[in-house]
Amino acid sequence: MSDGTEELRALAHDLGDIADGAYDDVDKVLFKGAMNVKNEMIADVSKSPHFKGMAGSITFEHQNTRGVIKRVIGPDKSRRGGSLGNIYYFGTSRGGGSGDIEKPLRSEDPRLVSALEALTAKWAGQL
Amino acid sequence: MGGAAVTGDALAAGFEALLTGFTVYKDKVPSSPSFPYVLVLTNFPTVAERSMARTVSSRVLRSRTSVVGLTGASVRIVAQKLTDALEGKRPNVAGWVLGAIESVPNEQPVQPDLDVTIPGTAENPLYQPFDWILTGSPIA
Repeated sequence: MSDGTEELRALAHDLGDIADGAYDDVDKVLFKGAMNVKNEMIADVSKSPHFKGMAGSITFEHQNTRGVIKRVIGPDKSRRGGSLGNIYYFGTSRGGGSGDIEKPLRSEDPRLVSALEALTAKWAGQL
Repeated sequence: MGGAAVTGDALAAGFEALLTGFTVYKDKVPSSPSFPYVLVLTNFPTVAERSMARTVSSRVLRSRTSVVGLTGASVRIVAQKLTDALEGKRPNVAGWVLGAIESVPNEQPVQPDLDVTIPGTAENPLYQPFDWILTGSPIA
């Protein structure tokens, strides 16, 4: 008859295996999500007769640190047209700002949540 | 709230009514504005949440306020008044149960508007946009 020690040790081992791969798993999901957001931002601005020239400046960069997975997406001011991003999304002192910077995030939100839920289901299956 | 145009407008008006104590231009700026000022643009509240029966249970009002001044200090002083007027406030609008107004971080700095020259000078005004949301449920 077991006192549970072996089972507890096995669970700890399994949790350790999951934790080892969790960072990379989540990073892949966030990478795909960031790509989707970037592509929708490019598609949106490409429809603007005045701002389509900045489409090529929209990119994203990894800002991962230990324990934190992060992507920053948007126009890069060092790229052609990137300095128009402020005006396209936020307008000037006299208004404007026709670009909706949150729309791609709203589109991606359910896909990202679904992908993360699938990940947690996968991890649970490994226990 | 099927035909909600009127109450949606009332919600926007209730939000904008909180903007007092500084010069406010709604929707557009006159050709010779009085500095400093706040330009406010408020949308029609869009659907934020639906019930299981797919009826609208809550809507979100989004507003952008651009604080414009002749100096950075002027922008910051008016931005403080703006924040005091809006952040956490609950407007009282007939027909709505409202949450508190919240600012939405947009990472925008105080910056010059290089396309505008202040009359009589060669200077550009400075501005900073602030975004806000207000979520509410229409009373059935």
